[in-house]
Amino acid sequence: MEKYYKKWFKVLSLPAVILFVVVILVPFVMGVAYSFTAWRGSYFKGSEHWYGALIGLKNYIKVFNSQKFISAFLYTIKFTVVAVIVKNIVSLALALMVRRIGKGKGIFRTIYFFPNLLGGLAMGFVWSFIFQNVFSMMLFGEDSPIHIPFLTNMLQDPNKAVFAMALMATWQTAGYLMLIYLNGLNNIPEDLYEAASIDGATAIQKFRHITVPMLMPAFTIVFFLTLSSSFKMLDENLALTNGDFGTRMLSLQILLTTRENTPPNYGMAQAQAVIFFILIAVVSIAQVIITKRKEIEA
Amino acid sequence: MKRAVKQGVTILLAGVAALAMAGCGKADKDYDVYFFNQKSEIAESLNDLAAEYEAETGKKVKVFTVGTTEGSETMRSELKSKQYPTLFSSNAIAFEEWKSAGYALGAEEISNGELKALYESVPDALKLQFQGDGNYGIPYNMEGYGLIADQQMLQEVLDTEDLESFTEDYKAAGYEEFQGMVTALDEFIKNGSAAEFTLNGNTYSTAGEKTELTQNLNGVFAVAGAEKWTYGNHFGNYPISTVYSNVYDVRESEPDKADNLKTPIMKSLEELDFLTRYTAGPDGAVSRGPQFINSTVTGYDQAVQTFAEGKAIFIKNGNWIYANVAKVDEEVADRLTMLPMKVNFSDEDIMVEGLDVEKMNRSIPEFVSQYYIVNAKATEEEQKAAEDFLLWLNTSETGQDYIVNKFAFVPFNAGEETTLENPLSNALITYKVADDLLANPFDAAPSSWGTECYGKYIMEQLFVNPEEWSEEELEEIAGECVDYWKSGMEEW
Repeated sequence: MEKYYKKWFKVLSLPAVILFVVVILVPFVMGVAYSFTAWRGSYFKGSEHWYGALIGLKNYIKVFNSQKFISAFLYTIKFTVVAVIVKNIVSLALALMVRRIGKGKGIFRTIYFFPNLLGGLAMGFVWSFIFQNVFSMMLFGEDSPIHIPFLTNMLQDPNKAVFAMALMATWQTAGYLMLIYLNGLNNIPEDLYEAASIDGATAIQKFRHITVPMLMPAFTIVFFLTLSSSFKMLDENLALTNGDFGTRMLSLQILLTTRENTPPNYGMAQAQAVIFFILIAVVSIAQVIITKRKEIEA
Repeated sequence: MKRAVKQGVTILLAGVAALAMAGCGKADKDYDVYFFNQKSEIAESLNDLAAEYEAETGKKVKVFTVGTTEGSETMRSELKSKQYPTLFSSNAIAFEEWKSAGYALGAEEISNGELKALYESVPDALKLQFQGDGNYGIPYNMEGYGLIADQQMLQEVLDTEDLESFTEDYKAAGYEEFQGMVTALDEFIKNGSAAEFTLNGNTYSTAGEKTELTQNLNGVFAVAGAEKWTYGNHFGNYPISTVYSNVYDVRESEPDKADNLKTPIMKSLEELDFLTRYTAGPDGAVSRGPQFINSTVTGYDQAVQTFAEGKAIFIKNGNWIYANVAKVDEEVADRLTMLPMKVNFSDEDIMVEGLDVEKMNRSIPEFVSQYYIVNAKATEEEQKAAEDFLLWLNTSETGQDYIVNKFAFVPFNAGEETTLENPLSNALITYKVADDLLANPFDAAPSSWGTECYGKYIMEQLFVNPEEWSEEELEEIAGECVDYWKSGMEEW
């Protein structure tokens, strides 16, 4: 079988390569080129062709001078920090819990995984109702028995909204990340724990010195997934706050750039997309390198 | 074996190439006219109309509708495809893109003489222009907005059968008299007692006690506080109208002209401070604060429902709410009337020639939502077919019937004799006939100014603030709005 794959590797991978080139690589290269032009969606300002409308770095300068872009950038970082921490803690805790359960393991896994199957935008509107109505008026409002101001009108304050969006994003993805952690946990040989027990290690010591190091490959994957998905988050942002109250994140900022001006300034939106790509690439690669270094073999 | 690999690769490549060729090859068109429509309300009737056209002339019209924000994105790619629309629609502002990209056929290039005459019959104020010049489209319809009320409600609140003289006096009244009326109405709603006010110098009084209809009232206005566009765009149009005469004026003026907006913006915010103290809600009056912009309480549908259920006397909105009101209560929908919104400006604030406070106070903004445009990049034959269809749509008996009765449009050339089912549309015609019209320059405001600046500040800083808004704060906001406007213009 291996021989077969070796021989046919190039042919078998061809369809995927062609698709990648046509759907991703070509538009990407074109996009980078267009980010240096006065592209207005249907036409290039001042010319018939893109190379006639080259304006150098003007789009990029505009982007870095744009208050909206800078505030979206800072807010995205803020959200990403909170979301990555919360998602990891919750999904690891879920994995540890589910692993210890004997009966009904499957049911819990299904329940935790379920939100992951629901669409981001639709669930965003459901959560918007939960935050605005259930939280603000029924559960934690001024007239309700447990009055917790932090949990009311969470969508009307940029700091509260970080947690509101992180809450929803965690609820949606924790089950999926839990599966990755579960898989990692199952791959840790039991005898390591047995040996540690014989040596008299406590539960916390076992977790720190066996579970965490052995889970490093899973951490690498989960960190990568949470980091890039938090950075790129759009649906929740759009549905929950629509970027109001200073909660606009980078994806939404790029989307709205094409809608805020007529004729739409696609060149400037494209410049933001290029910066966005570089940002995510740098952050993700740095993270993978760092966590990879910590991975160990048992 | 290497040969086999090579062969495989060649076959695959050939397949991909063939697919690509098929995508780019000359497309077979099984229609005579392809019309891209961006008004989703009429999508169904438009298909029926296309069928009637085919039955009458044998020509096949393909209609494709995508409304709202995605409309222009879809149309952009359609126009670039091989099977491009030969007739398409656009509003006056987005039009700049289609014209710059070379898709708009001007009236002078129209080959059909009758259609050319129709283009030329469009009044100057409604013409679709490019950089203040030319004539590129036929208007779909007229839309407009103002202060909407249920006539039966007004009669019972004012305890009078004679709404005509009330309407006349209301139109002539100034902003102070309007404020007096609002506080009197508020007193009536709260106490059910008679309160006097004057309009145009004539004294009016609310009823001494509540009736079955008026007892549900809990506020004077229904406000969609969670929907920035209702005040960001439409209320924002009043201060903009004092400085700019129309959309083209906004596009063509120097950025510094926007400095004149500052005082009108401040005054418009002061007016909002006043109006929002009398807001009705689904379960009792709503006061400003976090709940005021909670979309489950003051969303658009909720606000329309609050009004339609008789919990508010007025709602500031457009003739398009007829259908939404009818969903709640058809009787109320058929009794609707539209009054002009009162403005808090003085003559010194108004820069537009031929406009003064008195005229603003009796006028409502009316505008063309979409235009029909013939695709200049279509072949001559396709253009001819599109022109014939456009002419038939606007002049034939069947077409006229559809415009007025099925689309429920106010035709751009409506006269006194035109009557529609929607009483608000009839009101629009009355204002148009009397020439009591304001333009809709907010449409051209840079960088979504209405929702991303003016409306945003109103929602995020003012509507959540239950206290009286301080003058310093309003001045600061007005200043920011002017700056945003100017910097937005640089992005053009």
